[in-house]
Amino acid sequence: MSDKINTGDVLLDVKNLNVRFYSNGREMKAVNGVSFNIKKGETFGFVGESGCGKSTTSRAIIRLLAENAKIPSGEIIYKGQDILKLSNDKLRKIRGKEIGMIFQEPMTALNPVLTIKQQMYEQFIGTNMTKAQKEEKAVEMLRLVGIPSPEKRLKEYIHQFSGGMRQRAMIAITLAANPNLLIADEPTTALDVTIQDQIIKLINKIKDQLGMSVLLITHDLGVISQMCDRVAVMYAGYFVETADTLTLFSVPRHPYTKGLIDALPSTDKKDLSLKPIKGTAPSLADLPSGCPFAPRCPYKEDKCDAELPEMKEISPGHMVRCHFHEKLKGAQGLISIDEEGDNNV
Amino acid sequence: MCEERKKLLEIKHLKKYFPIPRKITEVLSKKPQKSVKAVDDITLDIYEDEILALVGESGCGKSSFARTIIRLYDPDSGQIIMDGKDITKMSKKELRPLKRNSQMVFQDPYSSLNPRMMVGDMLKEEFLYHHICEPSEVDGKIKDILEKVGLSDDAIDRFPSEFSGGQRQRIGIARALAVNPKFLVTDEPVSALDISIQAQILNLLKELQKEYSLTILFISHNLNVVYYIADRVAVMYLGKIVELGDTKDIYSKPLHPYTDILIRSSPNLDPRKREEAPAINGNPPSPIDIPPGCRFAQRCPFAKDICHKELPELKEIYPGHMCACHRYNNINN
Amino acid sequence: MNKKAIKINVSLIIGIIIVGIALIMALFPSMFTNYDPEAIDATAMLAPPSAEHIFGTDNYGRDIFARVIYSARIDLLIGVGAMIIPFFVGTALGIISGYYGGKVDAFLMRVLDIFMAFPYMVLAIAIVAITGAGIKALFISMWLVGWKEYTRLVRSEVLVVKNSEYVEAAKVLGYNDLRIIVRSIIPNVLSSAIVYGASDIVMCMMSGAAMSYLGLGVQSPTPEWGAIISGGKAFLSIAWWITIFPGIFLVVTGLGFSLIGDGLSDKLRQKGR
Repeated sequence: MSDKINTGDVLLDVKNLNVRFYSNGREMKAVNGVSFNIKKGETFGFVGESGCGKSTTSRAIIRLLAENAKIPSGEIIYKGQDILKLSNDKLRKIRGKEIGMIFQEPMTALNPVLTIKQQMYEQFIGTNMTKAQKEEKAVEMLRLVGIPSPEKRLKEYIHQFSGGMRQRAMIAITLAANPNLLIADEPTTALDVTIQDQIIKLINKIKDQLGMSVLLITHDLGVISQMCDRVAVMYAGYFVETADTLTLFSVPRHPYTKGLIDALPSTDKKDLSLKPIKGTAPSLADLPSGCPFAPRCPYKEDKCDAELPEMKEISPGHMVRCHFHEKLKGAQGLISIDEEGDNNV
Repeated sequence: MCEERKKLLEIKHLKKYFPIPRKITEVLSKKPQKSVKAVDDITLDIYEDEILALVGESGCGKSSFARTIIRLYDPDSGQIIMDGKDITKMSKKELRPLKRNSQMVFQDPYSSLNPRMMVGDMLKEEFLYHHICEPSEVDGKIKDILEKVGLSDDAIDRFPSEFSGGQRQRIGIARALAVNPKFLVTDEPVSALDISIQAQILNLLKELQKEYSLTILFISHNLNVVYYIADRVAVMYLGKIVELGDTKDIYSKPLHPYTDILIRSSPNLDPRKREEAPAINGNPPSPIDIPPGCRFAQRCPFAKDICHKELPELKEIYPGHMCACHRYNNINN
Repeated sequence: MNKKAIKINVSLIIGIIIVGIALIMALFPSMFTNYDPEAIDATAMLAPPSAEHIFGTDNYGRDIFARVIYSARIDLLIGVGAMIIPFFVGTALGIISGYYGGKVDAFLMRVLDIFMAFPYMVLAIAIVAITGAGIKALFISMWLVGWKEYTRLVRSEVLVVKNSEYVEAAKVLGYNDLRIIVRSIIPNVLSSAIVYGASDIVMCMMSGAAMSYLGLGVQSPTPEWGAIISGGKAFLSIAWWITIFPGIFLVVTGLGFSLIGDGLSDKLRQKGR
C-alpha cells in the first residue's frame, strides 16, 4: 500500500476552508478550518456521521451552497486559480466540465422529462463535436458504465431504469464532460449491497481508465476501504484525522476514529463486541470551545475543554487533531497490519 | 440442538400476493390479474428466545413476510401457528387480545412516532388499553419502561420532534416492549441511524432480548449487523427462503450461491483486499413474472438445465442448516 | 418548547384583531351607532357623508353606517354558519373515504364528482325555487356544495398518514379503528382542514353577499353587505357611498379571516415537525 501512495501533481488544494450557515439569527459553524489536497488519479474520502459537514465541504468546492451560507475564509485552488474568487462565468466552465458531481438519488438529480441522450448532449455544449461524434461518445459512455444495449437505452428516460442502472446512467452523463475531478456524494447509500458492490467496482475501474480524481463522501467505512487512497474523518465540521486508508484503518489515533471503528459491526472484525460512542454529536450552532469531541471522549482531560487542538502530523501523511493522541498508540484498529509486516508508521 | 427448543411460531406454506390493479382496458379485455408474489410458499419455525435474522435485498418480500406473520396483512394461504394456536383465520376481534404478544420496531424513527402525541400519553394508552396494570400504577410503569430503554423521566411530557433519531428509536422500542410481547419484529431498526448510535441501539436490543426472553425476528439488509446480533439467519430471494441456518454456519460455509454472493458483496474493511470485479452483475428480476425453476437461476454462475426447470426445495443439508439449491454440492469447493 | 415556537406570528395577530372588531360589531352594534338601520328618513334621502351621517344615507334615507355595522352580525353568521357544517361533514367523509378505501371510497368519490360537476349558482337558484329566497335557501345551497373540498383535502392527507409507520404501530398494538382514527389520524390531518376552513369563511361570506346581491339571499330591509351593495348599484354614479363603504367592510373582514388562515397554517406546520 505504501508504495501506492500517490506523490503526483496536486489537482485540488483546499486551505483553511470555513463555511457558516445563518438561520433564525443563529450562526452554524458547518465547516471549520478544513485543509486538504487531492492529487491526480487519486480517490480521497470524507467519512463522518450525518451533519458532520462532509457534504457541505464538497459542495463548497464548486460553490454550490444554499443562499444562507457564507464562506468567510479559505482558498480552493484548482489548477492554479482560486475557485472562491472566480467570476460566475468562469465558475460555470469549471462546474460540470472540470469537476463533475454525482449524488445519492439519481431520480432527483436527473431531469425526469429529458431522455438520457438529451441530458448527455447538454454536456457537449460548447464543444465543436459533430452530431455523429456526439452520438458515438454518448453510446461509448453508456457502454463504459456497463449499461446493456446502449443505443436503445440512450433514448429512454431515467424512470425506465432500475436502481443500479439509474446510478450508472448518472455516472455516464456526468463523465461525458470528461471531468478531472468527480465528487461522489454517498453514491451507493440508497442501493442494495450487490448493486453497491457493482457501483464501487465501476467507479474504481473508470477512475483508472480515465485517469481522473475522485472525492468520495460517505458514512460507510466499508465503502471507504474499497475505494479510497486517503481519508479524512470529519466531526462537527472539523477534520479530526487524515491518513492513507490502510493507516487509518490499522492504527487510528483519534478517539473519534477509534470510536467509529469500535462501534462498527463487521464480519471482518475479530472482536465481536460493539462499543458505542456515548452521547450525541454537538449542535453546529453551539460548538464547545475546546475540542468538539471532548464531551463524548473517553480519553478527555481538562485541557480538552479549554483548548481546541491543532492538526498535527504524527507520521508522514498522518494528521490528528487531538491533544492526547499518544494515549491511542498501539490501540487496535479495524484491521491489523502485522499480517503483511509492512507499514509506514 | 434445535429439536429440543420450543417453537414459538410455526409458519407453514405461507403465501401473500399483492394484486396489481389492472387498467380498465385490461379488465375489459379480460386479461388475467397479475400479482406481486411477495411471500411465496414459506415454511419456517421460529424458536422461543432466539434472534432470527431475515436478510435479503429490497423487494425480496422480507417486510411483507414479517407483517403477514403478525397478521398486519392477511395471508392468502398457509398457516401461522403461534404458541400452539392457529391465528391464520382469526377475525380482528379474536385477534385483538393476542396482538400484544407480537410487537414491532420500525425503520424510520421519524415517521414511526405520532408527531402529535406526547411520549407519556402514548405509553399510558397502551398500558390501559391492554390492562397491563391498574390506572394508579401507570406512572410508575411508564418510568420503568423509559429507564429500561435508557431514557429519563422528562421524556414523558415531550413530543417526538424534541428527540434525536437514536432517542426516537429508543421510544419506539419502549412502545413495543410496554405490552410485554413474546415476539418482536424489528424492521431495519438501525439502518437509518449513524454508526455510533446504531451500536447503542443494537446493544440495547441484545440486552432487552436477554432480560425479557424475547423472540426477535430481525429484518435487515446489512450482513454485518446481522452477524453481530442474530442466532440464526434466513436468506430470502424473490419471496422464498433460499437458505436457513445458524449464523456461524451461514457466514463460514454458505451453501446457497446467493448467500455467498451477498456475503462477498458486502464491502471488505481491509483496503488491501480489493477485488476488480463485482461479486454479481445485474439486478434481481421482477417479482411479478417469475420464471419456472430456481428463482436465482438466471443470475447464478452455477446454473444448469435443471435449475431453469425445477424449483429446488428447502432441504436440510446439515443438522439445522437448510438450503434450496440443486447444485449446492458443486459450489462449496 | 423551543424558541422558534414563540416567534411572533404577525399575520395571525392582525387577522385576530380585524375579526375581533367585526365580532364586537356583530354582538354589540348599538355601541357604534344610535341610528336604527331599518329606519326610513324621507327628509335625508341619498345624503352624502356628513357629520350627521358619516357614511351618508341611501335612497330611503337609511343611515349607511348603521346598516354596515348591523350587517356584521348577519354576514359573520353566514360566513361561519355556511362553513361549519361542511367542515364537520366533509372532514368526516374524507376520513372515512381515505381510511377505509375500497368500495366506500369509490362510492364517495363518485358522489363528489357529481357535486363538483354541478354549477353552484344553478343549484342555489333551484333551491331558491323550492324554498323561496332567503337565508334558509342560502345555507342549504352552501351546505350542499361546501363539503367536497374538505373531503378531498382530508382524504388525501389521510392516505398519507394511514400508511405511516405510527399508524402501523397502532394496528400492531391491536387498537380498533375508532381509536386509531381519533388518536392517530385526526390530530394529524385536522390542521389542513382548519387552515382551509379559515379561508373558506371568506369564500362563504363572499358568495353569501353575491347571492344577496343577486336577490337570492338575504332580503331587504335586513342589512347585509351584499344586499346593501346591490341596492346601491342603481345610484353608483350619484351616490357612491352606498356601495363603497359596505364593500370596504366586506373586503377587510374577508382579509382578516384570510390572515388568520395564513397564520394558522404557519403555526400548525411548525408544530408538526
